This record gives sequence, C-alpha cells and structure tokens, in this order.
Amino acid sequence: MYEQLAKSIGDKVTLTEADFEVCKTFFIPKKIRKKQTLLLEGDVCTYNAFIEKGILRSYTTDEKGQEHIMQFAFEGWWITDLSSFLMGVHSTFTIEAIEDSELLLLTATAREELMDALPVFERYQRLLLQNAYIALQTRVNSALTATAEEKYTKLTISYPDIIARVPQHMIASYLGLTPETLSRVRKQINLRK
Amino acid sequence: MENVRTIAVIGAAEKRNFAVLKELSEQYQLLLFDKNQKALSDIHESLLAHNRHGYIEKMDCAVNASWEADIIILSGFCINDAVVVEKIKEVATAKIIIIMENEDEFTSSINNQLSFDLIFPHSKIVEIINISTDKNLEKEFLLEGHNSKALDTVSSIFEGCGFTTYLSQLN
Repeated sequence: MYEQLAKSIGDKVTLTEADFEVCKTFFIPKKIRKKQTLLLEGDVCTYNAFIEKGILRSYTTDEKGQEHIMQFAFEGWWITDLSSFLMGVHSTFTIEAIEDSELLLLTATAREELMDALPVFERYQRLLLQNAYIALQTRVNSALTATAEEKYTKLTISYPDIIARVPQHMIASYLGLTPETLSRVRKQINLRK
Repeated sequence: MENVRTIAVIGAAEKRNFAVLKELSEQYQLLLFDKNQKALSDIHESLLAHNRHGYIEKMDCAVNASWEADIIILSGFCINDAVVVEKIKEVATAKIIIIMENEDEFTSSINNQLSFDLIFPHSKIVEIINISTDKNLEKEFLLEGHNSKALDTVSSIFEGCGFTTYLSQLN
C-alpha cells in the first residue's frame, strides 16, 4: 500500500525504515473509483494526494461547459490544487479518477507536522516542488511554441503508458487540441511509420 | 470540518443504529458491511426504501469499505471482533473511527476507548453512546474521545443530521 511512496521518497532523499514507518502514519489511505472526484471545483482543497495505483486528472471547466485538463497523475505522482491546498482558497480545478485508484492523502496540517517530525521530508517536498515548477515551465513553453504533432510526440515519449490508459479526448484536451486535430495528427504519424 | 463524503459502516445490520444510518444516508455516501448478509440486505433495502436516491451500497469486504471511506463506523458485532478490527487497521490510518455503542454497553466504554486507542494508534477514535431517555428514539448522543478536531467533526455530522450531541474530551 505504500510501495510507490517509499520509492518516490527513496529516489530523492534517504529515509530509514523506522522513519518511513513514522511517515506512513501521517497519510490517509483512500480508494476511489473510476470517475469519482477527489475535489470539486469551487471547494477548498483539503488534500495533497499521492497515487499508489491508478490515474487521476485535474481539470477546469469553462463557461461553455468545455473541460480543460491541467494535469494527469500516474503511479508515484502527486496531485492537488496547490493554491487552494496551501492558501485555503476555493479551488480552480476538479480532480477525478480516470481508473480505480489507490491514494495516500496528506492534509496541510499533517504535511506541516510531518515536516516537523522528519525534516528530510521537507527536502523531499522542496525537490518535488522544484521539479513541478520545471515541468510547468516546460508545459507552458510547449503550449506556446510547439506544433500539434510535436506536442503529441513529446507526450508519448515522456509518458508511453498514456496512450493505452487515457482516453484520446482527454489527451486532446490536455494538449489544447480538438479531438479531430489529435486524430489527424495520429494518422499522419502512423502513415510515416 | 474535514472533507467527509463517504462513511463505511462495519456492523451495519445492528438494528439499533437504523435511525442514525437513515439520517446519515440523507447527506453522505454509505458503504455498509456486515457478516450477516441477510440482515445486511434487509437494512440496505430499508434504507433505500426511505431514501431512494441515496448512495447506499452493500459491500462484501470490510477492508474495501473502510479503505474507500473518509470515516469508519464500527458497530454491533464488530466492536468485539478482533479479526475484522485487525483487518481494517491498515486502511484506517489518520481516519476517524466512530465506535457506536448503546447505553447498555456504556460500562465497558472506558475500557473500549483504551483498547481502541491501542488497536488503532494512528486513527482518531470517537465513541458515540446513545443516551436518549426514550430507548426507542436515538436523538441524544454522548461523544467521547481524545482528539478535539475529530470530536468536532463527528459532532458536526450528527448535529447536521438533527441529533443532539454532548462532547466529552478525554485527557
């Protein structure tokens, strides 16, 4: 139940087994089903969720009812609405499971308490935020400058699993493309193979 | 109040808690488990008859019910069922566990509180004792526990369902 979390922490910092046992006590294990929401847009985000199994997405909905996907999160990733989680403001995003998923939830209070109890967890969190910021810059840059084909190719190289596990219309939304455009791009790529 | 949407009721076929489950089902998703599947089906049907549009689900596994839930209610047989209690322990970390007792079980409550704190050292235990003077009505409850936030959360849930609660924070 905690294998992915142990790996995620262990990849970035050194934590003893005893410390990891302490670390586990701060997390709420939670199973959610496909299409079940962890957070609804407009609510205050109570949790930062670590994914042990499954996939989640965060998205916002525009005035026309169109969904815009901000993030996918796979096993070993974290997902939250950061400003809502840290500042206690209303969330901009809905977070929903794409598959049946197993999560480890951390409240803002538990996060603070965990960082007090295990300072190495603070370093782990800092490295996560640093990586998230870099990923965000890369995503914005790609959205501004890359062609549809470049965006899709880059995504499939970075996350080969995504094609098999995430519906095409969601991938299109994530890339800022229409489903028709994504379909055309995929056909062009396949023809060249 | 914590973000509570789903409540697992382990030992759901305990008839004395029907009034509570009926009210909870108006506002929360309920995942019901009991070893006695026949009695569980009866309770499930009765709850659905009262609240046709409620999200009330029979579960065949106490662990999965508790794993999906934000809050776990232990009631009836399972309060003293070491096997069930041990099984759900791992998925109950940092969650509120409500031990639902009735007044005739009250004398053992202090021992229960101590033992449940030991069994679930990383959960927040709140004992709920029905103290209504009319035994046929479940309207007034005494809430006992060490964690003040958990007491407040459970009190909010029960008050929100129309019950009266009295809090007793243990040292």
